[in-house]
Parts: sequence; structure tokens; C-alpha cells
Amino acid sequence: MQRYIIRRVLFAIPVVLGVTVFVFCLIHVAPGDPVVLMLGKFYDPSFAARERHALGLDRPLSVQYLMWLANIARGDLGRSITQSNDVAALVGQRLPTTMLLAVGAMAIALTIAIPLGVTAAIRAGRFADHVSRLAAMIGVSMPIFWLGLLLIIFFSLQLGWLPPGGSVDEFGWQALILPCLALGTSFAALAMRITRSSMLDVLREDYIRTARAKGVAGRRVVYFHALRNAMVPIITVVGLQFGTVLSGTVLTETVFNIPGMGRLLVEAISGRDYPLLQGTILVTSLLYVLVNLAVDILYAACDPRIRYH
Amino acid sequence: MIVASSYRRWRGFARNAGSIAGGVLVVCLLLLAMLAPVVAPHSMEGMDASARSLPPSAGHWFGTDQFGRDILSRVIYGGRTSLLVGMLSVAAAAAAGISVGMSAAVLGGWWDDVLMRAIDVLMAFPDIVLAIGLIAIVGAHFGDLIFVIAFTRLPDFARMSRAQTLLVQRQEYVAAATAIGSRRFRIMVRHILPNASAPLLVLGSLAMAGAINAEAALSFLGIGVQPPLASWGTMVADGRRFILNAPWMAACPGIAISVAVLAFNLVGDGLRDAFDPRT
Repeated sequence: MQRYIIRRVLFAIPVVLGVTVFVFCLIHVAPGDPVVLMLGKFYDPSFAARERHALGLDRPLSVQYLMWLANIARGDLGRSITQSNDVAALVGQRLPTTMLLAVGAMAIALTIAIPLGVTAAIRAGRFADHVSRLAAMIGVSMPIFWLGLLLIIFFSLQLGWLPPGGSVDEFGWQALILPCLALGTSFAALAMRITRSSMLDVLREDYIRTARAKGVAGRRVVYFHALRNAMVPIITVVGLQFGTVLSGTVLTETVFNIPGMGRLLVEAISGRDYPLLQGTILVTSLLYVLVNLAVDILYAACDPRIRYH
Repeated sequence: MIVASSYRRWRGFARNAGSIAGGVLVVCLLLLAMLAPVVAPHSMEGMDASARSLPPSAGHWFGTDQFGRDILSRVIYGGRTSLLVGMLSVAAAAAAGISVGMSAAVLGGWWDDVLMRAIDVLMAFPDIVLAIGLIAIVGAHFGDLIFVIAFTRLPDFARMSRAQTLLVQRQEYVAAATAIGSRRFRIMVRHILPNASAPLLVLGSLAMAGAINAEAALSFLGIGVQPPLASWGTMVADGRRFILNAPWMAACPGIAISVAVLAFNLVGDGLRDAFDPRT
């Protein structure tokens, strides 16, 4: 197991370095001089030259990259142009909300998806299966931002039950219910399809037939024998789809006006705030790589067969 | 042999109610987009000051917007942009991805390593995050947008075509073609590509759904299709401001996105069921 973990971590290192190179290139390939952008209307040639030197922008690119990496290692992501604050501080403020949103959405998704997926698998090929598969297909196809708007129109504007999003500090935890529901529903559709196919695989196994043959009640076979074994691939695939959820948070946070990482990213691109853009893209992608790594390792811990591949 | 089995598979596709529904929807959407000037009841930009923000009615099935423009007509015209961006970006992603994947598999060695590690890096970014990063570099004009969406779809095509090529390469007819002295490029195009195409077709259909969704999402965020061009995504974004008084303005183009994405997903799913030997 230890060797497997070490190998997985070593595999992740070039990917992480590649991510940093790509993100570093962002600011250097992007049109426009960062110093000009930073100074805006206070631009002055001699001051700009001094600033360029202070930022190390007159050094070779490779040196700049290493300096930048060293800064990141110290937790210094640079300074935002539009929000007059350190990028690391901004990310620190926004990240918890996004994580809460992502985890809440995944919890809702699994709560909806697992019973539906199990039902579809037991009744494969019959009416309940067709209905839940169609529902999942529709769920996958609805754009998150549109579903979010529909939820706002219905539950917030028409019924007045819940706040139409906003920050948790302002509106309390209720503000996260609709966003989690919007993000969770689209994700539930995916999780349901995985649950169904994973359950179908497990239900064909000999040990399920054995359990039935020795007279274990039908429900018990499904939930205790089959679902337990089907859960490993379900959790793995769901975990590996964390990137989809992160992509979804960008849209959900925009629709519901939630001050999270996704909104920060959109604010950065709208304001052409390259340091902020670099920081948010870097943190989001590294988070994604780390979650994938954790899921891979957990999967191997649960299923010893994986380690020998 | 191959002909017979592929005939059987297409028949399997045609017997699946979902794939038929999806196929019919795709054809209808494409026809609507192509024939927009003929089928749209009103012009796209025609404003009518006396008909501002009207709810759906017999005269305006989807209602009107804040300028009195007919939303149904705008949805039909907007579909041209959305579907065109989708098709062009998937075509570009397929062309680039298949070239990368096949050349990695056929040439192997360090070329394969370099390309696949680069693909790994691209896959380390969540889709929208990668798209936003690329838009920061290239901009958000029509052509740029197609490039950006194609780039986010490219890794799937590269990986799939590499895996398929590695499988097909082991077949005897490839060995035979090599033995009679066919050139590598000819083998790739004449022998490997046709035999690796079924899963790529499935991927293409699902990628089309993904590309339409991505365009809509980026346009909704304000960094996709730029005015005066309108797509379904920009229409939802515009309608969002009037959600309190005229919810149909955002709801109707959203239905169009959902139907289009659903249609391509259904076709892709039907193709997968028909061509995947495991099912």
C-alpha cells in the first residue's frame, strides 16, 4: 500500500508542475503589460520601469517562474489589482463557502441518486427503470445556471420560502439550500447513472445468488449485500467527478450571488485582474488534483486488487 | 462480417426509443436553425414598443422581451449561434484530439509520453476554469470561443483515440498492411481510423452536448458570445435581470439549451448502447 501511495504521489508531481507552468504562462502570454494594467491611469514611464524591476519582470522568464514558484511555496499568491487585497487572503475568505457548497451539493446528489439508482437497477428494463433513466438524462441536460434561476423563481420569488442565495453571513445557512439543490440535482443525475450500472454489475455476482439461495430477504440482499459492494465504485467515480462540481460552483455562485471561489474567478476575468485570476485558477486546480489523488488512494485502500495493476 | 455486425448495431440504435427521439430532435433543431428566416414568426431584432415584456400568448408563444422583440424568433435565431459554436468546436476538438491520440499511439516513445503528460495537465483543470484561463489569453471573439471550447474537449478525444488505436493496431489486417509496405500515414487513415471510429462517434455526440452547454455557460457568465451576436446563453443572462417581472425571458431560452443538450445526450447514449460490446 505504501508503495502504491508513493507511486501515485510521484505521478501527481509532473501534473502539478504542468499546472503551475500553464498558470504562470497566463500572465505572460496574455495581451497587455501587467504593470500598465496595475498602474492604470497613474501610469508613469520611470515609475513603471522601477516597478517592473521590483516585480522582477525584467529578468528571464525561467527566473521569473522560479521566483513565482518560491513565492507560492511561501503562500504568497501576489496582490489583486481590483480588490486591493492579497490574493491569498481573498482565496482564504472565499474557499470555505465554496467547499461548503460543493460538499452540500454532493450530499444532496447522493441522497437522491442512490435510492433511485438502486431502484432502477433492481427493476432494470421495466417502467421504473425507464422513468428514472429519463429523469437522470433530463437532469444531466439542464444547465445548472438555468435550473438555479428556475429554483429562484419558484421557491424564492413565488413561494417566498427561501432566500434567493446571497452570502451565508447575511442570510444564514438557508441561503445555501437552493444553490446546493441546483448543483446537487445536476450532479445527482450523473451519480444515479453510476449507481445503476454499478448495482447491475454487483447483482450479477455469485455471492448475491448465494445470499438469495440461503434465503436472505430480498431487500436485505439489495441493501446489505449488493449496495455495500457497489458503493466502492460509486464513491470513486463520484469523487473523480469533483471537477464537474467545481465547474458547477462557478455557475451556481454567479446565479445565486454567493461570494465564493467561483465568483472570485468570474470577478477576476471580468476585471482583467490577472494576479487574482492566476491565484484562483491555481488554487482550484491544485484542489482538484489533490482530491483526485485522495480518491485514488482511498479506492486502493478499499479494494486491494487495484494496487497490483 | 464487419458490414453485417455494423448493420445489426445500427438496427439496435434504431430500435431504441430514446435514440430515435434524440435523433428526431437533433434534426428538428438543425432544420430550425438553418431555416430560421423562413420559420421564425418575427425578425430577430424587430422591436415593437407597444409589445414590451408581454407574457407568452397566441401571438408570441414565448412572450416578448424588454424591447418588444419576439422571444421565440430570437430563440430560433440564437440556436444558429449555439449550434454553430457547438459543431465547429467539436469538429476542431475531434480533428486535433484524434491527431494527437493516434500519433501518440502509432509513434509511441517519447512523443507519446510528452503528449499524454500534456493531456494529463489539461485534465487537471475543471472545464470552466480551463476555459476562463484560455479566454484570458486569447479573448472571447467568435473564433476564440470555438478554440477555447474545442481545447476543453480535446483531451477526451485524444485519450479515446489513443486507446482505440492501440487496440486496432494489434489486429492482423494492420500487420498485413504493414507487411505489404503501406506507409504509416496510409495505415492510420485507411485502416485504423475507420475501425476505431464507433466509440469516437459516441464521444462526438456527447461532446456536442457538452459544447452547447459550455457555450451557454460561458455566455451566461458574460465571457462567451458577445453582443450584437446572441446565443441561448446570452439570452438567459439578459433575461436574468427581469426575472421578477418577466421570468419567461430567462426560462424560454433555457428550455432550448436543455432540449438541445438532451437531444445530443440521447443520441450519444443510444450509440453507446448499440456499439459498446459490453452491453
